[in-house]
Amino acid sequence: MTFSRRHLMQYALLIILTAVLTACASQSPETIESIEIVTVSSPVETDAATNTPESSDPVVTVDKVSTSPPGTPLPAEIPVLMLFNGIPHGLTEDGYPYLGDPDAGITLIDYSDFL
Amino acid sequence: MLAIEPQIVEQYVRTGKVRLVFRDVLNHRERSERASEAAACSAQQGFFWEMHTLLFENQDRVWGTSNDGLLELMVGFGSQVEGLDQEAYRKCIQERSTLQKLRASDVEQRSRGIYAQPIFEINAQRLFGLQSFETMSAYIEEELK
Repeated sequence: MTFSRRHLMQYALLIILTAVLTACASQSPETIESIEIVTVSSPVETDAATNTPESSDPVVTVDKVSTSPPGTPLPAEIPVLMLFNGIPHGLTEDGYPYLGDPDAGITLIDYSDFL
Repeated sequence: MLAIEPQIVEQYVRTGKVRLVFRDVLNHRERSERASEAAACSAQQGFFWEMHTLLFENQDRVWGTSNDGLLELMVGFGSQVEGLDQEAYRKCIQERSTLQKLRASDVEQRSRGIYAQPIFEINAQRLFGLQSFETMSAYIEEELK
């Protein structure tokens, strides 16, 4: 049994193809998991305040989405500020949290988003 | 107003001159709602201000988490609040038992022109946007006269 030149070429191509496929398959999943997905959307799509003057502004917000799986433990390094120790606190009659003397002459209301 | 909050608290709240009230503004849909629910569920146990601080200090973490991961992120924040009944807290945010009230409050506030944030009301005075301590202090001192 003899090998023609054509057969040798076919074997060579087969070896090269096998090597390429092996290299691709050996990429670790960690490399893929490290990719961060970034989506770009307008405030109209992502902002609940669509009836606000701001919503008509041609501003584009960038919304980062983490690929970390839900339930990933948080680092335990964050200390909770104890700024409020010893100050009266509770809920107003309407159910909003307050800090300070409930009978204080001045009420300062902070309307804020946590973001 | 986290940047100037320590000064406001020490100078006016701790001294009994000012009562500070927090009201949620929901401008970023799921993220805002999840964060506010965490605060409201903590408030049910008397730990609102601890959670409030955690949330403001970890805004980038909330932004960096997908909607599917927000619940567990908030559970993780709860675990950092000493004294919080974790089981009751988790149940509260899982069942979303505070969400309806938060949404209703947000709607009511918008009807009064409160849709951007932050906005402050010092008795009848309304201030829009971030304020320096000096500005805030000036308004408070005026009210104290």
